Amino acid sequence: MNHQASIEKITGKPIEARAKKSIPLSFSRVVVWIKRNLFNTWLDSLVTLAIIALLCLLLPKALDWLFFSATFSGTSRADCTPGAACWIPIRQYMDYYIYGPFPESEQWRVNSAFAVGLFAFPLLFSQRIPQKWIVVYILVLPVVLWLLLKGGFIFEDISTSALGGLTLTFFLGIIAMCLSLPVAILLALGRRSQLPILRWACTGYIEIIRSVPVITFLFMASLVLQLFLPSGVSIDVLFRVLFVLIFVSAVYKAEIIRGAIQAVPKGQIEASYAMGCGYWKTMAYVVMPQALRNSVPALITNFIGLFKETTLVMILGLLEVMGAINATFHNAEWLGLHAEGPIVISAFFFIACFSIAQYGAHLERRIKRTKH
Amino acid sequence: MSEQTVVKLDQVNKWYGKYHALRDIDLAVAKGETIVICGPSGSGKSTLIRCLNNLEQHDEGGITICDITISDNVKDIEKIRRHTGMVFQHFNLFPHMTVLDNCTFGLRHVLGMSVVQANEVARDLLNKVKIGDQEQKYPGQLSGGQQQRVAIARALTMSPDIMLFDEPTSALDPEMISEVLEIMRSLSKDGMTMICVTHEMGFAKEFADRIVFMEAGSVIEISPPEEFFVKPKTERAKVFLDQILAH
Repeated sequence: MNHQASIEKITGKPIEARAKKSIPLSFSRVVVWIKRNLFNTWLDSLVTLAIIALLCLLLPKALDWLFFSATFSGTSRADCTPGAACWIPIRQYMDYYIYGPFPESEQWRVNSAFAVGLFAFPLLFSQRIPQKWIVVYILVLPVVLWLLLKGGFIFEDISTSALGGLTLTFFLGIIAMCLSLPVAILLALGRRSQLPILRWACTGYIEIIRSVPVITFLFMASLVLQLFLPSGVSIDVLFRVLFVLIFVSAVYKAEIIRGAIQAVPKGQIEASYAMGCGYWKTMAYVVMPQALRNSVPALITNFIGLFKETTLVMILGLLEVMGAINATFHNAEWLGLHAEGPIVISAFFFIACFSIAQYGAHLERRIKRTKH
Repeated sequence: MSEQTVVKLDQVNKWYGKYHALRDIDLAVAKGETIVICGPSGSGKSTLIRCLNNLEQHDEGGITICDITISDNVKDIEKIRRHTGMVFQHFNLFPHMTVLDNCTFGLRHVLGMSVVQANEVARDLLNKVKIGDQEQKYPGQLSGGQQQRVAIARALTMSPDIMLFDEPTSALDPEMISEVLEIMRSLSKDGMTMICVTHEMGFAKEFADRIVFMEAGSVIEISPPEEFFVKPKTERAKVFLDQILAH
């Protein structure tokens, strides 16, 4: 008030806070924007025109092939229009793409698994749910998925060969994502540990694993491992594949997290220690929350990569969604349709990965709100 | 060790590689005393105060805090840290927690108090440092002076026997120094045992019971302020005082 009064004395009029004037959107403003952003220099104009020309050339053709001339309904190859997409097999095999060869009477288990998994979205996007619950959900989800889809406890066992399509992709992707993060956190902490043996072990593990292609480990999991196991003992291929996915992708995440831990100021740890807090609590409540917040963009990229890597299990004869779609197009009836399969696969992965990315963006917005 | 002595240093030495950072430090602090450690930068003041709660490890000699001697025993060190509260130059508040959560952190995670109980204790102390109305804000939304007051409240929540201040006002704008000093004054008046590394000579003159002057890793003078400011025993202290009081 005093301050206000002194300003008034100098300027002769009161200065009050007021809202910024808003300018209504008008045609002339749009024109100005276009001029400024698309036709600013002659080079800009040239690029703009070239892109417009290219779009005019390609877009109608593509849309025509994809939708306008494409065949959506029918029963056999004969119904397809030549020179356009034929979506008949996709519709015919849709059930197979989603459930794979899962026994029909047990499909409710797949449905409930999807429901439990998709429950992640309201849970993760909500502001009100305490973080403790989210951690519990992430740790319980893999167990629930395994029970529902693979069986055990009160659920009837399903043979591995009955898992396929979207069900298998979902199963591998979610379990690997949920479990690789805790493994990665432990590896990152291990690599920064004061205990030399632990530190060397973690460093060695990380350096070796990240220097070898994932596909090699998948091959080894399927073929080499059998050489070392005593005869008669065999580990379910699903288990082996999951093991590889989790422990390989954890290495990359561990390095992301290690970088983020190093970016947390040392004073934060000291402040926690100075209050008598021990190592684990300091890591859990002070360091990791900050480190994980800082590594959200990189971790989301890693999760997306991991989800797409699940397609590699194809080489072990597991028909996840990509394998399932490809298989139907190798069917004699539909042989020769090359483009439809990859387009559907791309669309599926785009939807899944874009959702993950959106979650990342949401997290970043939320974190920004608490940072100043 | 007398019952009154809460901090005792006996021939403490520390090296950073070859650099001899602390040299034969002897110091005993009685309960309720306010000690100000001063000296030129690089003289080992911060290192010394950080050795008291084992944020830095000393190499030789003995440090005893509230009858617990610092050793390799992690439990002992955690106990010592519960007896001491520390305030840092850069506040070191947890940026991802609200002011209130910052202050209940130790109560909940170290002492295992319930949230309701912890909130009560924390609110009480936040009111004491006159910042109770900001409890739902994040540290980044506060001014430096406010942050340091929250940091003091956070340290006090653990009801420490000894408060360590490591240059608490050095990172503050001049207009905010007084609000932090005011809190420190009231703490000193209430009989808190305090060890402060600070350049605030006004505070030292008025409230310190003894002033410890350090130079190149050694304590070269320990005197009450009336003696230290009027007639320092060493030439080095005289030069230091001239420089610091000149501006």
